Amino acid sequence: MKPDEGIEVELEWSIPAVQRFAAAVRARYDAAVVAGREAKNASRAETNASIALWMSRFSRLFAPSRNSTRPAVKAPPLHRLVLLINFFCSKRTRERVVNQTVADIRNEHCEAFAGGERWKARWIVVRGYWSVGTALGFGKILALIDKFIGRFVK
Amino acid sequence: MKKRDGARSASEERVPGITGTEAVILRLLLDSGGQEMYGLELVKESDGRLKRGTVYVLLDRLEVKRFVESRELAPREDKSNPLPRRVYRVTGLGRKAMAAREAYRMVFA
Repeated sequence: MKPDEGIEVELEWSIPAVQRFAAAVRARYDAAVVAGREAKNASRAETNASIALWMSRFSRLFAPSRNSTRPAVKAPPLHRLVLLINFFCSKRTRERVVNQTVADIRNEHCEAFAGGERWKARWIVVRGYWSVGTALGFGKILALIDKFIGRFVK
Repeated sequence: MKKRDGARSASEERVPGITGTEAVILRLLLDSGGQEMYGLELVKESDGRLKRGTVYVLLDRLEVKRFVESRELAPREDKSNPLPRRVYRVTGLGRKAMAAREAYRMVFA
Protein backbone atom coordinates (compact mmCIF):
# COMPACT_ATOMS: atom_id res chain seq x y z
CA MET A 1 0.00 0.00 0.00
CA LYS A 2 1.33 3.33 -0.92
CA PRO A 3 1.25 5.97 1.71
CA ASP A 4 -1.08 8.07 -0.43
CA GLU A 5 -3.44 5.17 -0.93
CA GLY A 6 -3.90 4.82 2.81
CA ILE A 7 -4.77 8.43 3.10
CA GLU A 8 -7.13 8.13 0.18
CA VAL A 9 -8.84 5.13 1.80
CA GLU A 10 -9.08 6.93 5.03
CA LEU A 11 -10.43 9.95 3.23
CA GLU A 12 -12.86 7.79 1.33
CA TRP A 13 -14.00 6.32 4.63
CA SER A 14 -14.12 9.62 6.27
CA ILE A 15 -15.97 11.46 3.55
CA PRO A 16 -19.35 9.78 4.22
CA ALA A 17 -18.83 10.35 7.95
CA VAL A 18 -18.15 13.98 7.30
CA GLN A 19 -21.16 14.05 5.07
CA ARG A 20 -23.29 12.44 7.76
CA PHE A 21 -21.91 14.87 10.30
CA ALA A 22 -22.53 17.77 7.96
CA ALA A 23 -26.03 16.49 7.27
CA ALA A 24 -26.70 16.21 11.00
CA VAL A 25 -25.38 19.70 11.58
CA ARG A 26 -27.44 21.01 8.71
CA ALA A 27 -30.54 19.24 10.02
CA ARG A 28 -29.93 20.64 13.49
CA TYR A 29 -29.38 24.07 11.96
CA ASP A 30 -32.53 23.78 9.88
CA ALA A 31 -34.49 22.70 12.93
CA ALA A 32 -33.11 25.65 14.82
CA VAL A 33 -34.00 27.95 11.95
CA VAL A 34 -37.53 26.56 11.78
CA ALA A 35 -37.92 26.83 15.53
CA GLY A 36 -36.55 30.35 15.42
CA ARG A 37 -38.89 31.26 12.63
CA GLU A 38 -41.82 29.80 14.52
CA ALA A 39 -40.76 31.67 17.59
CA LYS A 40 -40.45 34.78 15.52
CA ASN A 41 -43.89 34.19 13.97
CA ALA A 42 -45.35 33.48 17.37
CA SER A 43 -43.96 36.69 18.78
CA ARG A 44 -45.17 38.55 15.70
CA ALA A 45 -48.66 37.10 16.14
CA GLU A 46 -48.58 38.10 19.78
CA THR A 47 -47.51 41.61 18.82
CA ASN A 48 -50.27 41.82 16.20
CA ALA A 49 -52.83 40.66 18.75
CA SER A 50 -51.71 43.29 21.25
CA ILE A 51 -51.82 45.99 18.55
CA ALA A 52 -55.32 44.85 17.56
CA LEU A 53 -56.40 45.00 21.19
CA TRP A 54 -54.95 48.48 21.56
CA MET A 55 -56.60 49.62 18.34
CA SER A 56 -59.93 48.20 19.47
CA ARG A 57 -59.63 50.19 22.69
CA PHE A 58 -58.98 53.36 20.73
CA SER A 59 -61.23 52.39 17.84
CA ARG A 60 -62.43 55.95 17.34
CA LEU A 61 -58.94 56.92 16.18
CA PHE A 62 -58.83 54.04 13.72
CA ALA A 63 -62.39 54.23 12.41
CA PRO A 64 -62.94 52.70 8.96
CA SER A 65 -62.71 55.11 6.09
CA ARG A 66 -65.80 56.64 4.64
CA ASN A 67 -65.58 54.35 1.60
CA SER A 68 -65.57 51.25 3.75
CA THR A 69 -68.38 48.85 2.97
CA ARG A 70 -68.18 47.15 6.35
CA PRO A 71 -71.35 47.56 8.35
CA ALA A 72 -70.84 49.42 11.61
CA VAL A 73 -73.06 49.71 14.65
CA LYS A 74 -73.27 53.33 15.80
CA ALA A 75 -75.27 55.14 18.44
CA PRO A 76 -77.91 57.52 17.06
CA PRO A 77 -77.03 61.23 16.89
CA LEU A 78 -77.14 63.16 20.18
CA HIS A 79 -77.21 59.90 22.13
CA ARG A 80 -74.80 61.08 24.80
CA LEU A 81 -76.43 64.48 25.09
CA VAL A 82 -79.81 62.83 25.67
CA LEU A 83 -78.29 60.66 28.40
CA LEU A 84 -76.85 63.75 30.05
CA ILE A 85 -80.11 65.68 29.80
CA ASN A 86 -82.10 62.74 31.15
CA PHE A 87 -80.03 63.06 34.27
CA PHE A 88 -80.61 66.80 34.74
CA CYS A 89 -84.00 67.74 33.28
CA SER A 90 -87.52 67.11 34.48
CA LYS A 91 -89.71 64.52 32.82
CA ARG A 92 -91.98 67.16 31.30
CA THR A 93 -89.07 69.07 29.72
CA ARG A 94 -87.63 65.81 28.44
CA GLU A 95 -90.87 64.61 26.86
CA ARG A 96 -92.10 67.89 25.43
CA VAL A 97 -88.93 69.75 24.47
CA VAL A 98 -85.79 67.62 24.36
CA ASN A 99 -87.19 64.38 22.93
CA GLN A 100 -89.16 66.25 20.27
CA THR A 101 -86.15 68.30 19.17
CA VAL A 102 -83.93 65.22 19.12
CA ALA A 103 -86.54 63.24 17.17
CA ASP A 104 -86.65 65.99 14.52
CA ILE A 105 -82.86 66.09 14.28
CA ARG A 106 -82.58 62.31 13.94
CA ASN A 107 -85.25 62.35 11.27
CA GLU A 108 -83.45 65.03 9.28
CA HIS A 109 -80.12 63.26 9.81
CA CYS A 110 -81.51 59.99 8.44
CA GLU A 111 -83.02 61.76 5.44
CA ALA A 112 -79.70 63.46 4.61
CA PHE A 113 -77.76 60.23 5.11
CA ALA A 114 -80.15 58.24 2.94
CA GLY A 115 -79.76 60.88 0.24
CA GLY A 116 -75.98 60.41 0.29
CA GLU A 117 -75.32 63.86 1.76
CA ARG A 118 -72.85 62.87 4.48
CA TRP A 119 -71.58 66.36 5.20
CA LYS A 120 -75.11 67.70 5.47
CA ALA A 121 -75.93 64.89 7.90
CA ARG A 122 -72.93 65.84 10.04
CA TRP A 123 -73.91 69.49 9.91
CA ILE A 124 -77.44 68.58 11.05
CA VAL A 125 -75.96 66.84 14.10
CA VAL A 126 -73.86 69.92 14.95
CA ARG A 127 -76.91 72.14 14.50
CA GLY A 128 -78.82 69.67 16.66
CA TYR A 129 -76.54 70.30 19.63
CA TRP A 130 -77.14 74.00 19.17
CA SER A 131 -80.93 73.52 18.88
CA VAL A 132 -81.16 71.47 22.06
CA GLY A 133 -78.98 73.98 23.92
CA THR A 134 -81.08 76.86 22.61
CA ALA A 135 -84.32 75.11 23.53
CA LEU A 136 -83.19 74.53 27.11
CA GLY A 137 -81.72 78.04 27.46
CA PHE A 138 -84.74 79.71 25.87
CA GLY A 139 -87.13 77.76 28.08
CA LYS A 140 -85.18 78.73 31.17
CA ILE A 141 -85.12 82.43 30.17
CA LEU A 142 -88.89 82.43 29.54
CA ALA A 143 -89.49 80.72 32.88
CA LEU A 144 -87.37 83.35 34.64
CA ILE A 145 -89.24 86.19 32.88
CA ASP A 146 -92.58 84.65 33.88
CA LYS A 147 -91.42 84.37 37.44
CA PHE A 148 -90.06 87.93 37.52
CA ILE A 149 -93.07 89.60 35.81
CA GLY A 150 -95.57 87.43 37.63
CA ARG A 151 -94.24 88.76 40.93
CA PHE A 152 -95.37 92.30 39.93
CA VAL A 153 -98.51 91.55 37.87
CA LYS A 154 -100.25 89.27 40.37
CA MET B 1 -109.47 88.52 50.91
CA LYS B 2 -107.54 87.49 47.83
CA LYS B 3 -109.26 84.84 45.76
CA ARG B 4 -107.35 81.74 44.81
CA ASP B 5 -107.01 80.91 41.07
CA GLY B 6 -109.25 77.87 41.34
CA ALA B 7 -112.04 79.86 42.96
CA ARG B 8 -112.33 82.37 40.10
CA SER B 9 -115.41 82.19 37.86
CA ALA B 10 -115.08 81.77 34.08
CA SER B 11 -115.90 85.43 33.41
CA GLU B 12 -113.26 86.66 35.85
CA GLU B 13 -110.55 84.44 34.48
CA ARG B 14 -108.02 86.35 32.41
CA VAL B 15 -107.17 85.00 28.98
CA PRO B 16 -103.40 85.02 28.60
CA GLY B 17 -101.88 87.05 25.80
CA ILE B 18 -100.31 85.79 22.59
CA THR B 19 -96.84 86.86 21.50
CA GLY B 20 -95.87 87.33 17.86
CA THR B 21 -94.14 83.98 17.50
CA GLU B 22 -96.95 82.18 19.28
CA ALA B 23 -99.37 83.81 16.85
CA VAL B 24 -97.32 82.42 13.94
CA ILE B 25 -97.65 78.92 15.40
CA LEU B 26 -101.39 79.29 15.98
CA ARG B 27 -101.91 80.68 12.47
CA LEU B 28 -100.05 77.73 10.93
CA LEU B 29 -102.07 75.25 12.98
CA LEU B 30 -105.30 76.99 12.01
CA ASP B 31 -104.32 77.04 8.33
CA SER B 32 -103.72 73.30 8.41
CA GLY B 33 -107.49 72.87 8.64
CA GLY B 34 -107.65 71.21 12.02
CA GLN B 35 -104.94 68.74 11.09
CA GLU B 36 -102.44 67.80 13.78
CA MET B 37 -98.85 68.93 13.17
CA TYR B 38 -95.55 68.38 14.89
CA GLY B 39 -92.75 70.88 15.44
CA LEU B 40 -90.59 70.17 12.41
CA GLU B 41 -93.60 70.51 10.08
CA LEU B 42 -94.34 73.90 11.63
CA VAL B 43 -90.70 74.99 11.21
CA LYS B 44 -90.66 73.91 7.56
CA GLU B 45 -93.91 75.67 6.76
CA SER B 46 -93.03 78.87 8.60
CA ASP B 47 -90.44 79.99 6.00
CA GLY B 48 -87.79 80.75 8.62
CA ARG B 49 -90.04 82.55 11.09
CA LEU B 50 -89.76 79.66 13.55
CA LYS B 51 -86.54 78.05 14.75
CA ARG B 52 -85.95 74.45 15.64
CA GLY B 53 -84.62 75.35 19.05
CA THR B 54 -87.60 77.42 20.16
CA VAL B 55 -90.66 75.88 18.55
CA TYR B 56 -91.19 73.18 21.18
CA VAL B 57 -90.73 75.62 24.05
CA LEU B 58 -93.37 77.88 22.52
CA LEU B 59 -95.70 74.95 21.86
CA ASP B 60 -95.30 73.92 25.48
CA ARG B 61 -96.19 77.44 26.63
CA LEU B 62 -99.22 77.51 24.33
CA GLU B 63 -100.31 74.21 25.85
CA VAL B 64 -99.94 75.63 29.35
CA LYS B 65 -102.11 78.56 28.20
CA ARG B 66 -104.60 75.96 26.84
CA PHE B 67 -104.46 77.39 23.28
CA VAL B 68 -103.22 74.10 21.85
CA GLU B 69 -103.52 70.51 22.91
CA SER B 70 -101.20 67.65 22.13
CA ARG B 71 -101.10 63.89 22.06
CA GLU B 72 -98.26 61.46 21.79
CA LEU B 73 -98.16 59.37 18.65
CA ALA B 74 -98.11 55.65 19.22
CA PRO B 75 -94.94 53.91 17.89
CA ARG B 76 -96.97 52.22 15.13
CA GLU B 77 -98.14 55.56 13.77
CA ASP B 78 -94.61 56.95 13.52
CA LYS B 79 -92.28 54.23 12.31
CA SER B 80 -89.52 56.59 11.27
CA ASN B 81 -88.33 57.42 14.78
CA PRO B 82 -88.04 55.43 17.98
CA LEU B 83 -88.60 58.55 20.12
CA PRO B 84 -92.32 59.20 20.55
CA ARG B 85 -93.52 62.18 18.56
CA ARG B 86 -96.03 64.66 19.91
CA VAL B 87 -98.54 66.29 17.58
CA TYR B 88 -100.39 69.50 18.29
CA ARG B 89 -103.73 71.04 17.30
CA VAL B 90 -105.56 74.24 18.19
CA THR B 91 -108.25 74.23 20.87
CA GLY B 92 -111.46 76.26 20.82
CA LEU B 93 -109.94 78.77 23.23
CA GLY B 94 -106.94 79.11 20.90
CA ARG B 95 -109.22 79.85 17.95
CA LYS B 96 -111.11 82.50 19.90
CA ALA B 97 -107.92 84.10 21.22
CA MET B 98 -106.42 84.17 17.75
CA ALA B 99 -109.60 85.67 16.26
CA ALA B 100 -109.66 88.32 19.00
CA ARG B 101 -105.99 89.13 18.41
CA GLU B 102 -106.47 89.49 14.65
CA ALA B 103 -109.58 91.64 15.12
CA TYR B 104 -107.67 93.84 17.54
CA ARG B 105 -104.81 94.21 15.11
CA MET B 106 -107.17 95.04 12.25
CA VAL B 107 -108.78 97.84 14.27
CA PHE B 108 -105.71 99.32 15.95
CA ALA B 109 -102.82 98.49 13.62
